[in-house]
Amino acid sequence: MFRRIRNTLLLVTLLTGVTWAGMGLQPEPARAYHTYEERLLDTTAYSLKRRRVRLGLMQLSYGILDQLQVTTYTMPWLLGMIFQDVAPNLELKSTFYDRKRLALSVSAGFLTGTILQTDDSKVRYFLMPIALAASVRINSDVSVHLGTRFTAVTGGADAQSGGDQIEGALVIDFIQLYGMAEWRLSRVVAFTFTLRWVPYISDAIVNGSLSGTNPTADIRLAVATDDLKNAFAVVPGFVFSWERANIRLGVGYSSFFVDGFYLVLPGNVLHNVSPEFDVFVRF
Amino acid sequence: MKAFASFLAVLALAAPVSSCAPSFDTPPDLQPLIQAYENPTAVVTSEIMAKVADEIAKAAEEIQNSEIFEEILQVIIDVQQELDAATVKTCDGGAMNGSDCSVDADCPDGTCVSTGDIVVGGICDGGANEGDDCVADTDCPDGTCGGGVVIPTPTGEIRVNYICPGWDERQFDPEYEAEPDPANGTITLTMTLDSGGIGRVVWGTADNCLYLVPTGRENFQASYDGGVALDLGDPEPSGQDITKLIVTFLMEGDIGFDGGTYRINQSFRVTLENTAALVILVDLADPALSETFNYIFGETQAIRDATGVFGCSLEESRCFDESGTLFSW
Repeated sequence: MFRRIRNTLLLVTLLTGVTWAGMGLQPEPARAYHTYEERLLDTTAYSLKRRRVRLGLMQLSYGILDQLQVTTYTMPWLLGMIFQDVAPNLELKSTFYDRKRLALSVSAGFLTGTILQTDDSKVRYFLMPIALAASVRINSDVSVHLGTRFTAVTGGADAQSGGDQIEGALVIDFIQLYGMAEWRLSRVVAFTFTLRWVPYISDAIVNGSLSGTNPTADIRLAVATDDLKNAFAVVPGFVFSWERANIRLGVGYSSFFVDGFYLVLPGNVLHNVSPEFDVFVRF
Repeated sequence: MKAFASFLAVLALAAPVSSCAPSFDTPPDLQPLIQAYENPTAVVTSEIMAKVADEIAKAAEEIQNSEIFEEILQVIIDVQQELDAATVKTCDGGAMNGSDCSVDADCPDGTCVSTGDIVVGGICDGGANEGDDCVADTDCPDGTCGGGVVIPTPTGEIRVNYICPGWDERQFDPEYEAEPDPANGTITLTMTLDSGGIGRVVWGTADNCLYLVPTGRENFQASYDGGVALDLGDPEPSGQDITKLIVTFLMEGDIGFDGGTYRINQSFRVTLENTAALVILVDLADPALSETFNYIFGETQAIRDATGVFGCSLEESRCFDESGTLFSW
């Protein structure tokens, strides 16, 4: 238990340290601020340029090419450690078209992990998101970003209950549409207004088997996901960008779209508060 | 070119994404059969009875002797009990209205009813039942029920594979714990699940299922090898007593009983509460179910056809009403 807490604290310290160390580095020619070159990366079609880095509390990104960025989200690693197993995740994002006022991107990734239950049973999960996004620069101050993300979620669990061996698997697919208006109020402050909506979510399909006793059983269930059908969020926020440091901050209404986990929590879970937050450096 | 390469790199990562669309087996449509019981179309005559009387008598004898329906219904009852134990229940009415409950006694002036939700993996923490399966805290006196996953009002299907008990006489010894032996054959049944209860249609096969039929004096060796579909009646709510239901069977296969084999391709109705009350559906014409009547066994025998209900006796080879013999064969 103490080892887990220690590991968690170590990871938080490491992330915070890396972030603030990045902020404190001697500035090179200004690469940050909201400029024509420096674009928002979240909820947009833009990606980091080659050899550029983003280090933050929520995600770590690196520009492999001018058009290809790799990202890992920190929260799954952190929460994975708390629940006794790390949650590897990776996302590739390609801005395959960026001409004049229009940029287009495609991204795909995965997130996987294991959660240990109190009864020593294990729940494994695997998520694969694919997203398409478009960004339009209307003028030097205003941009509009639109996108869609399909996420396939699979999970599995096994448990021993008395003489029964229980195994189960879960499948859910859902599509998210999002749009964000960005208004650069100054070279430091940008106002964002983000809409997210889940127009489609499949029923959760649960496959299970019960063995070890007589009779044995194979179970296939469909569980309604009514709480998440048409889930949405309206999130006004700001992105502050200095030479290196950036803060993204927003508080909105309704469902919570969890960054890094690609999931949606129904509004009633957080009393219809939908937060957005990140602190990061780019260099 | 680099943009295209990066695009391909992303697509390569996305390639494994696949979607498992739900695909459930479709239950056999037994409604035409149910309608044939409710609305018999044949007008039974002495000529008809002369043709079918022996078949009716033989089918009834084999069905009642082999008690194959009991073997099959017992599997369904076991599944229903497991489902019932895993179903979340709350008090309806009374002082504890809306609270979790296990039995009616938990609900003064109210009743304990199923919500349709199912709990999987709940374990009692503390109390007298520590470590036992549970659905709610009421299952864990002086403890709490935790660790379970609630599946809200699931729909779907359950495929049950039951290894038959075989012909070992020791199975009736309460002290004897038999190891299931696949050599004794199996019964595989598919049931639909709706709102925490078993749906009305169950179907499957028996693969050379061996079992003993106990009587007061001796145990008879019996077997069944073939298909089965049955209708439990109205949608089966959680907790309803299956032994009291009138169940419609459709069976096609081989019944073995006491060394003999009988080929059955027959529908019948029976209730576990009174297995002597058997109704045979007699199908006279081709296409199937276009001309049918019911032959009813019980304290007395009767026929229900398009004209109504009247008495009959296969032993006396005659049918009759209050005024006397209608016809004989």
